Amino acid sequence: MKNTMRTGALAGIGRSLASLKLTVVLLLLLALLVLGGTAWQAEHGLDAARRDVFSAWVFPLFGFIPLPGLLAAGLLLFVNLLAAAAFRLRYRWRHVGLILIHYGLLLLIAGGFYIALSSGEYFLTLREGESGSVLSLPDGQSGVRLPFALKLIDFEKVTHPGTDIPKSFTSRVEVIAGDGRSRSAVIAMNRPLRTGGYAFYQSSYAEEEEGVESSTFSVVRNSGRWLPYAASALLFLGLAWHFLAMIAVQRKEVAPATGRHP
Amino acid sequence: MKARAALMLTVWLAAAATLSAAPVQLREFRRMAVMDQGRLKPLDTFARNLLKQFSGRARPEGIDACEWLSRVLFAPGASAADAVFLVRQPELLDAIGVTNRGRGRYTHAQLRPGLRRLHELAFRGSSRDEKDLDRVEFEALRLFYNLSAYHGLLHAFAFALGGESAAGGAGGASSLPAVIPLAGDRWLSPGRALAGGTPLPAMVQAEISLLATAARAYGRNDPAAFDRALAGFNRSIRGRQGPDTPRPWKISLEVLYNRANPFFMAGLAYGLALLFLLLAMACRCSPVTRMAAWSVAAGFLAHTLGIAARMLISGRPPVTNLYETFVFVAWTAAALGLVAARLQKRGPGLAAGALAAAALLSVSGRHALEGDTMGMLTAVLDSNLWLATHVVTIALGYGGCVVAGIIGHVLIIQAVRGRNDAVAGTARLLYAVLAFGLVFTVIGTLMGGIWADQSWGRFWGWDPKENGALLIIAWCAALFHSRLAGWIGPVGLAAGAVGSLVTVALAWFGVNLLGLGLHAYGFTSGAMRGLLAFLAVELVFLAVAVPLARKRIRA
Repeated sequence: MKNTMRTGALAGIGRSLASLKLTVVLLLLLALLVLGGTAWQAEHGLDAARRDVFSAWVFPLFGFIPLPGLLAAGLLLFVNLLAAAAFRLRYRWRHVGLILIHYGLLLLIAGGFYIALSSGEYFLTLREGESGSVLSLPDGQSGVRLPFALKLIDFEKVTHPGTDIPKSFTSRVEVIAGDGRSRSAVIAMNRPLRTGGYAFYQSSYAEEEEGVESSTFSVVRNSGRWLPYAASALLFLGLAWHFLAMIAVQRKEVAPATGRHP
Repeated sequence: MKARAALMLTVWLAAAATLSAAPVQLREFRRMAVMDQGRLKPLDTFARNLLKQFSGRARPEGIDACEWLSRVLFAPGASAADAVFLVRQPELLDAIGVTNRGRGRYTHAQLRPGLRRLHELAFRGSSRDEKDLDRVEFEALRLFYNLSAYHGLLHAFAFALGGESAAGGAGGASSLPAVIPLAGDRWLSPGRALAGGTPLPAMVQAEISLLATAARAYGRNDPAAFDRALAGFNRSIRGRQGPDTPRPWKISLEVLYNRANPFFMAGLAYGLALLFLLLAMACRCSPVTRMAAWSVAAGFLAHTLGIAARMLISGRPPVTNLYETFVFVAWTAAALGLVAARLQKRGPGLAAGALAAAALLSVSGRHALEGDTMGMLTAVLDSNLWLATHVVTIALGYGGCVVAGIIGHVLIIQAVRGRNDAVAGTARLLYAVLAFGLVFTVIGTLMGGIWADQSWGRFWGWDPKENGALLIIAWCAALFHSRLAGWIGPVGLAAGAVGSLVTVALAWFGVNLLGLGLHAYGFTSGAMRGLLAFLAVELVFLAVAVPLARKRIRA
């Protein structure tokens, strides 16, 4: 008797966490934070916007009114979605699309948190002929030592004929392993180098004295890289399913019935 | 029905052909291949872009771009009377001592007395940062730049016509038509090729002498000889072997595209459809409604052909810059309107689609100079796969939200007028179109994340454009969930759809206006005021109409 009462109370809490109205409030909060964070970024730059809004738990409006930051809003949305998955979604065949969409979103938010906590973003700048294995943090301090070294052989910038519009940036590099073995590789726009758990992206370049060029790579270590892909796959499948199902209903009456949420 | 469609098409094509009839003797001149802005294009396009740059119009006072350019190149004296130099700030004319006739287009002869002082003004302005210049100084620079380009062109054929050569002069050298291919992908104007110092291959010498023959024929007013010489020149260029050899079909297609002006035609057809729909509302007769549908269909055909032609010419997916986003979202809107018209014969879908398409195409015209020229892409965008998927999908999503926003207006007005029967149908259509917009925005955003991860190693980076897409998604998702929660009815959904139109405007232009982030293409000054005015108008509309609509619909 006592046991069922407790489950009843838990289910009650779960149901109120799954509330649609909470979803609406949280989505509006998300919209507001995104809008405000973008304006903040225009004013103070991306790093400040990340610190104060996008990677913050609390955002002090005017310095003293505490608003939830984007992390808090994300966590609340996650809880809301989880509760909805447990108590509100109806597991029927015709709702497969919606179910997939909501699970995809759960995975996307979870993946976002995991990546935010676990991944690292660094920079590596090399002059032609130089090799290096120490990555620096975005603020310029040296961060991580790679278990291998990268040597920049040559950097090349190609422009469209008769213009200054860059057509391609290409860095030819050599990856030198700890035991001295090396292999050559190419890093170009839209064509990163992945090796030893790190990914190197062509980020920028500079022309230094006497025609020597230097190339800057942004380096990312991200073990959760596959998570957004998996989430996207779920979402894509769900959206496609739901959309096609909607078109099927459409043919009968131009819109799905106003029926209850699954 | 089919007969009527065929008639409609014939009328349109005939209209297109008449509106753009051109003199025959410039046939070969238009088809000359020129390397400009990194792309091989017909001289026809080069001339149009130049004239648009100078005058702000494609055909100022009915001047044909190629006729004008041929005058400038081959009969320099005659072109001084063409009113092609747009002066946007008339105060500049006072500053340089030229008779001020107000904002408008001036001839070179009219501007000539002020050239020296214009040069001084521009020289002072050029040494400073562009942001520190006031309107008049900026205008001085712009006009000076255009005039030097013009002066360069005047002397481009001095080697054939006699007189001072511009090859050594600095100013407008970069705007000279580079029609002579040399070794190593280099294209030069004939004057520059001759001034290069190195002896030219016999084939190039023959080509340049054909150009000289043409130039002299033009001066003698001998169109047949002019055309013959240029035909020989074009044959010779086409006959060259190499990766840069111009493809004749591409050149012809682009000339045809320029002449047919498909997006202008499509805009006209959409506008005509709107007129028919207004008429249909007044007389409540269905044949007029059908004519409106056929008009949208004809416009859509022209629109589609235009997009296809651009894709063939540039070898690119349909959307690569701000201008093309307008054209493509307009296309999506027209398509949605046509589909909606099939699903709901009496619904507002067709009107909403036609209105969105016409409005977007008319806005696109103002951005034509930045994007119409099919310029080359910077390295980061050079990925046909992602341009074709991410950008196109996002544009489809924008299109859905824009059309939904207009249907939202219609629903609110229907509710204000107390037409409850119509409101129910409109609400169903609105739901479907908004869902279309949301679905494609979500898919497009995810694809953008994947592109970003592939290229920069992060799925999401709070770039303003990413934020804009997230804003649309969060807003639309909030709408659908509030409707499920029973918080809002048809009028609330409609008001929300108007809001989604606002979020699309913010995501689409607001980000470009902020001028930061990876997607900051195509900054347009003055657009900020337009965006704010748009926001204000929508806010007033919602504040006035929504309470009224709710009262009426309850009654």
